[in-house]
Amino acid sequence: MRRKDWLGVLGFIAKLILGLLFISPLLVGLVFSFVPSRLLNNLPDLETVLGNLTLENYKWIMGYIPIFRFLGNSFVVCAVIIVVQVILSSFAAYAFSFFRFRGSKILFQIILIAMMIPAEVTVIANYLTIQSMNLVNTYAGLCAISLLSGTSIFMMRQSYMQIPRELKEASLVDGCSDMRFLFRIAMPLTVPAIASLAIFLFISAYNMYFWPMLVAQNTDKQTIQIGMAMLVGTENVEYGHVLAGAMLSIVIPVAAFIIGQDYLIKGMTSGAVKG
Amino acid sequence: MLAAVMVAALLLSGCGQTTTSGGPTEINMWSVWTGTGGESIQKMADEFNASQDEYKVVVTYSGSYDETLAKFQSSAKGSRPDMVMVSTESAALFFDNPDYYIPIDKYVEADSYDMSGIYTNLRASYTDSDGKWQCMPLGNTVVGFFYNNEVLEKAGVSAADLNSYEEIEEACQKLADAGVRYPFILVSNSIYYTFPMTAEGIDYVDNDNGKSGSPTRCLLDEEPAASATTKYFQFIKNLAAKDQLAPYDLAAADTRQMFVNGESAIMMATISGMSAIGELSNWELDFGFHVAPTISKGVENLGQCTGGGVLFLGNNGDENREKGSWEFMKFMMEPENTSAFAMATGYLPINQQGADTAEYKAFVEEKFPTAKDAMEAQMATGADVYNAILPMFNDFHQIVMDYMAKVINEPSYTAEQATADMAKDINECIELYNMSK
Amino acid sequence: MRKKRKQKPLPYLLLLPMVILFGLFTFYPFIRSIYLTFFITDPLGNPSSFVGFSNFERVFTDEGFVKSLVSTIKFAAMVGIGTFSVAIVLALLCMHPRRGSKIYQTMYALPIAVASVPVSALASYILSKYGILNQLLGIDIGWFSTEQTALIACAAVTIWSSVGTSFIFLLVGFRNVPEDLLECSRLDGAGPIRRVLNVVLPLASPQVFFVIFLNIVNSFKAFAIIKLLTQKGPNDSTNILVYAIYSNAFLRGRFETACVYSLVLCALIFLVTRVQLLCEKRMVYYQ
Repeated sequence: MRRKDWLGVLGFIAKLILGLLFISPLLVGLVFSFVPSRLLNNLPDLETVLGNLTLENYKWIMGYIPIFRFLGNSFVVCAVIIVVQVILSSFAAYAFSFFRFRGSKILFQIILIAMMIPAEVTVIANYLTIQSMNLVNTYAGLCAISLLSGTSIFMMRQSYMQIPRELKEASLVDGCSDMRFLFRIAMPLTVPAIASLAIFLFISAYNMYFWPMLVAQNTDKQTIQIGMAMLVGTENVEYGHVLAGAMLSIVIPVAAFIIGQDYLIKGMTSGAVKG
Repeated sequence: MLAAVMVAALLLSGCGQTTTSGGPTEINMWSVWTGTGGESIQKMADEFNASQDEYKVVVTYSGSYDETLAKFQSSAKGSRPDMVMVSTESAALFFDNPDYYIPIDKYVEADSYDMSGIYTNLRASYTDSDGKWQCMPLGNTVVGFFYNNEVLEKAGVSAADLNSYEEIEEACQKLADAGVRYPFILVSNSIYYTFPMTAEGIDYVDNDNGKSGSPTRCLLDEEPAASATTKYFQFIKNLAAKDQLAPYDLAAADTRQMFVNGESAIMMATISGMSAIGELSNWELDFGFHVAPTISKGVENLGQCTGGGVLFLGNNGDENREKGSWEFMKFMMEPENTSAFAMATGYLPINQQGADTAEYKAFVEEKFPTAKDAMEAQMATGADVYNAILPMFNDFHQIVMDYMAKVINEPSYTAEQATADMAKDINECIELYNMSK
Repeated sequence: MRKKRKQKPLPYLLLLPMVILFGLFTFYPFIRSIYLTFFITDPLGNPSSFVGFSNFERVFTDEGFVKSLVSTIKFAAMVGIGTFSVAIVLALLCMHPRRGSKIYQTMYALPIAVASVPVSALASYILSKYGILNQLLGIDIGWFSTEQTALIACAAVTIWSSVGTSFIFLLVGFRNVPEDLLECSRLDGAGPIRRVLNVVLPLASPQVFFVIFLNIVNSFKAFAIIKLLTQKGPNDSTNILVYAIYSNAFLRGRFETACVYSLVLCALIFLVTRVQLLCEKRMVYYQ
């Protein structure tokens, strides 16, 4: 028994070290974000770093970009995208997994094909479409092209396919309509999948750069990643600012992720779906 | 429920418009500047807004020059920004699309504003053949190279002799013999080809290098452009063959590091990189800046054409906003503002008045005495020295850089072949552009 | 007596939003881009002059084209296989939840929360010629400026930042394997590797194949890191198809050429995923 314990402890330490190594770039970024830019050009040694810790990079950023406005805009966009994607992909997953209908194969293929088309091809045409709908520089315009994705449908479908058919049949016997089944039974059962989808969507929506860059015309609607890009100097990169900005911008998704992923992995594996 | 979400989204879209009733007219400027340059622009906007009630300038970061251009081109009239920053080279694209902008000459005339303080080489690039100003110069960079005085002296090279690529090649040999690892740093940019060509007065496209009309073909298959181009490629090849050329695709930060620690002695750059080098070396490095050389030895250097950026008045059919934009432009052209912007960015001031301010003079003395030489070269430039006006500049730029890379990466690829192939590609890109109109 | 089933409208209604959204924002632009490959386009992407197949000719005879194709396949293979391998190893390591396993679990997945702009900023700082990594290793390779290393360096950064997603999906799949089955096989004398191959992987096969599919598709489209760090790369070594699309459309103003490249890319992705789906049909089963 003791040998097993020791192995367990060793294993834990090894995996922990691996983890630390894995996130070491982030740790480096974090530490160096507290060092003034001018010392970062030539790689500073430990003494210099410890002797010069300062908040000046963060202070400069707060003064230079309207970071809270940007974060707020990012949140609105994320919230809308998450809600709409969860609903629409649940609809699609439900349709594909619980119904047999003509054309279901083709429609499924459509999703696969849609996933293969790179965004660079569609972006200009989409911008022109959004413009013709007068949605440039609006929240709707910012969200419009991200309201559904193949990955979301896939994720939800995986989850829906694990719901036992008997459950639906039983509910039909009880007089439950299809939609009622969806909202009352299926969706609650797939909450773990919804939670994990929400986290992924949050991260990917939060990290969008190119589309918001095109659509948002002023600081009113610009999102956090655009703010990040503003920190990279046109001529002379001030690494202190860039690293501090990077740290500021990742605080929220990292926190959301840390809190969320524990819940979602536990949720997805507790057998809630199988019960 | 889906309907509810859609309706909510549409309602949110309504929140996008800002209606000003009775307040100052809002004027939009799309800016590409970040860092200290961005701060300087914002400061000017804030001061301008505080100084009067009629107009309010709102500066928005619109991405890089390329991203800004992409956004602008897909904007319909009426939703364009009132002022937009465009790179010098892409200004040609605007000139070829008069619908995009209002020439500032309209307001220069109306106000009888005196633009004469602005340096001649800027006038050469930004006025049309009737001398009418199309756009306001914003950045005024000088292209050339930095040189490390200490290292040059040790190798017995005099900076004053480095007037052409030919002479630079000779100097690099001396530097290499004195132990400098990579005497020459070349950065991937077409300006290190076009500026020397222009300095020698060699046109590389037809129609007066694009001034009298959109180019229809390039002149690289004729003299004098052909042999000058071949000489240029040969220069690069020679240095690469002798391993005197620094690794070609290094990041800008890394090249500066190399320059500062003496591994390199001559670095092609624009003058705006000066503050970066200064910072990196804690202003302890003894370095200077030399304007763009000619290609061949002994050819008279006709002068420096400009680079950097300009500010165009977007065409939205709204004269009130145009007037407001022009007011802000005038404000930006005030001496204390042109010098402040110059000091923040490392560019040169666009007008003599800015250069004459006490602050700027002190700045030059303290940080960079050699800026004086660059400015004098600017002023000495004749009004007919300008880079080719290429609406298809972006494509051209990529092509030149491709060939610069190719002659370095493929030792067996000859300079003559490069010139011939590049001529073909440039002709193709001109043709494609003309077909797309 | 067979009851004739009336075709319910419900599934169609449920899928209607999907059809509209994909139709408008994915397929319409895509069809349009195919249409545009036969024209020369103006800066706005509107067709200008009809040129038949000459765009295709121009692209296919460009010597950079084959190079781009090869780099794309190399990059996609590195990123796809790399991400999958790292993810599966990490997921297997974390398969059994232990005390404190949450900590390193979170660390493995954390990089996906970091956007590509900060990731590239960090990468360019750490991997610079005079940067930390080189100092630690005592060398001075320009990772992003040397032809032989540029593509690999970009792949490594891309793998690092995208492992988390695959890791989580696989972890969920592995954790869903019933403990009792694993116990049984251990009692039967199967060692850890055997257990993984014969029990865990087959039972988690839906997840595994989903992750493979996702990796393939994403690794062909992975682009942000290259755009921010190396662009075309030393001697065009990182000029993968996706970058060629971007540079033609946005840097050179040649939209129709970008459309040709994107057709090639889509065909490539389609081909590879066909193969993968064929394999899946034979190897996956749902419970």
